[in-house]
Amino acid sequence: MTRTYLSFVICGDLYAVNVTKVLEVLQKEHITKVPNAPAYIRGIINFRGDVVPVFETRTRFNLPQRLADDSYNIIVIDVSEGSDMFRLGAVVDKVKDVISIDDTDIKPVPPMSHEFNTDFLQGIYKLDDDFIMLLNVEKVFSGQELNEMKQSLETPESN
Amino acid sequence: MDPIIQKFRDTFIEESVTLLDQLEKDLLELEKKPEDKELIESAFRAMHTIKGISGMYGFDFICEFTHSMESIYQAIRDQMMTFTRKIFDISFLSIDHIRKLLSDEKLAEPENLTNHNTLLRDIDTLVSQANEIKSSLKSSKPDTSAMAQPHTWNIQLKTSEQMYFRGISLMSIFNELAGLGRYEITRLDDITDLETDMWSIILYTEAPEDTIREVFMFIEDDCIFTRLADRNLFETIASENPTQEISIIDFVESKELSPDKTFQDDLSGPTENRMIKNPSAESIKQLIRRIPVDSEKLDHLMYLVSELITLNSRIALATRDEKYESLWTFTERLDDLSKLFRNNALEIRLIPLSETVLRFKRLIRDLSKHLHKKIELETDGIDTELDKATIDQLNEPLMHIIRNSIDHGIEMPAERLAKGKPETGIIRISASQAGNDVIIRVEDDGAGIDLEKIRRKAEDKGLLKPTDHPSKEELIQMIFLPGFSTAQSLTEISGRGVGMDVVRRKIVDLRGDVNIFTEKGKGTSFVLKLQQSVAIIDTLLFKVEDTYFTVPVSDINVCIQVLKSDIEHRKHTGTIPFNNQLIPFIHLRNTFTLLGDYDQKIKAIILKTNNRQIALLADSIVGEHQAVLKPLGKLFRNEKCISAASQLGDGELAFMLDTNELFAKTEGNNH
Repeated sequence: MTRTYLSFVICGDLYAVNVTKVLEVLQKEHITKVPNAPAYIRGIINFRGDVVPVFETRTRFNLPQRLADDSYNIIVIDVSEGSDMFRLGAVVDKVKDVISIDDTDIKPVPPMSHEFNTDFLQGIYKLDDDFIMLLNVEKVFSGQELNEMKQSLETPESN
Repeated sequence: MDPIIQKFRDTFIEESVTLLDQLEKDLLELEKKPEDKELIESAFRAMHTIKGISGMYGFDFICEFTHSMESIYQAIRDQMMTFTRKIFDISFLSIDHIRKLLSDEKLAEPENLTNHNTLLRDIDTLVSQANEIKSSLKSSKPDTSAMAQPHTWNIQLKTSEQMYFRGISLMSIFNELAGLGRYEITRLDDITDLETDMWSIILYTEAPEDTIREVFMFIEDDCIFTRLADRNLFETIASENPTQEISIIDFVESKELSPDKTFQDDLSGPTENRMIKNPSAESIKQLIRRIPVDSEKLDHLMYLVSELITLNSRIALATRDEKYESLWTFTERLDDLSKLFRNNALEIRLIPLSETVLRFKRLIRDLSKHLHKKIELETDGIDTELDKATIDQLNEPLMHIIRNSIDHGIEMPAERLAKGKPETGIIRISASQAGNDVIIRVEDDGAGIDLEKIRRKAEDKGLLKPTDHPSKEELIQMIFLPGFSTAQSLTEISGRGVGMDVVRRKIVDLRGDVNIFTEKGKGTSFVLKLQQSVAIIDTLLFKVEDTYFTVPVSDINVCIQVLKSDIEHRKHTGTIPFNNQLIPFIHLRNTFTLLGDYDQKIKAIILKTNNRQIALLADSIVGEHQAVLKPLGKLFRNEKCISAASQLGDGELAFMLDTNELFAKTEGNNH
């Protein structure tokens, strides 16, 4: 089966997400910092009237920090979490284009440096001389942290 | 499933909820006035309508159930039966059951299934008793044909998606129709057109044709009216087929009475009579004056309004320069209009408190009976309106308060008589509005809160020492502590020690306030103070480093300036002097790990609630800000001090501080 992906660049590498999860690609805009938020949360934006958290992919992938003057795009994605939907923005260096990839052309993820969590990838696609890493958005933008959050919600609050 | 049918089904569920509430209200009234013909009529119609439409859209169990229920009310309407305690009990249980059926239409829950069968059996017993009486009376029933000309009609109705979008309520049409006589609805299967459904409604009525047409006036073009017979075909079927149940449509078809297309030219017939004022036309008008709206649509409207307000402040900001002076009259007008728009949208969200108070009538009835107490509910000013979201949140705390009054407040009848009080206790719910606040009082004329008992309990729990001398108010406040209950025994009603704790938490969540006044032997009153609207509130906007914060204006006492050296000096106590008092301060930079440092002159915002005050330390105060509150989402739920965000004119977001959490924080520091 052929699926459509949105590709983008982070620190010179190509990544892609399934386009069906993408709501909108935003130009660089002001992101409001949230006090005491984890480092990989860049802040929040107002998206179609709702407050949406914005993840910094560079921090998430243990890559060098983005400089204040660097340009970026924000990709707004819906991530499913069980039966719930969780809307978020992801800061990437630059959005490239939309490509079609057949499932059979997706290669499994080879072992990588231990700094990068390979769970974040669903596979790799070879495009000419380049590789595109297909992101598993459910893992990148939820997984561990959301579970941690859930646990903290389940423990009785001490008021 | 066919999406059109699904839409009608959704509407059915929505409308049934309203209709069941109405039915419940009627029944509660009927308990007091069992002879009231109008109420009986109204109750019968409600059941008949639910039966009709549930059958149309495949809610088979609801249809079966309301069919049985209806028989009881038919018998009462025909004066074959009079109300008994048993009938009321079964009726209330039935309403509860239909409510359950709306979410569990297939009776998948075993509990619901058992309940269904038990209730049906109980109803059948009642109906068969009624039928015995009926058969003995039948011969003596006067012949009505001399007074009016009853006919059996066949009305063919076409329902389409378009009808759905026009907002036509089948429910109200059939409710109206039930007032005219007996009817049955059957779906006609042989329709190849997928866009529409055809229904055949067989109606037996004494009403003239005009009246029938009036009922269908909004959808008359989709109806074909056919007069089938000048007698009651329902009875004909029953008498011709005494042993089997035969559907009327089969009967009509077998007699070749199916609609003749020649009747269609009746459709263009005279319609001048429609404007005649009669009760049914009046009630249609009433239905139209109040329209049920999906709350999601309201939420969407609020969203649009909030975007408008934000855009408006952006425009105001962008045109501040002198060179745009020619635009100012327009921006001012836009500003006025969007404020009007906002107020109007907020008003739409307001619903009267009576919507929720009705439920408590039922609760009081059931519980007082269970406890063998006699309690009346009195209400005053319950047409006072509150935001829908607030009313939804208010149900639980109100329920706990009322349960508490029923269980602990009002005494047993004998005890009341011995004390020289009337046998029947009173629980009184009253509401009034004061500015943007709504005050709700729940009072009872019961025994009052036993402060001695609270004291003993507090000592048992180690909350008080025998040497302590708490004031009356301090003792009362203790019942709001988690796990604090003075109930003698653990009853199913209250006394689990969760109630009052929940009450306070819920009210505080709504940015409200709760107080208790009690006098031994005379009664107790709970006074709740709530904001009428919670989605948009007036706040003060201030800044620390590059982060904007807001606090509700209503929580602010005053803003002052303090010197940084003063704060440095007092870091170990965490307090600043204000009005000859030392009040705790909150160092927002430390609390929220913000960069930088305060200037020499620090702005302090003094907040106050009840008798406590705290100071928030800020860099600068920006001004008043109308905050359209938006939840931050679950990712930030751990940050309890921030309750919501709101957008500023330049697109930046400001964080709304939870003042109660801030107060709690300083309390923690003191210990």
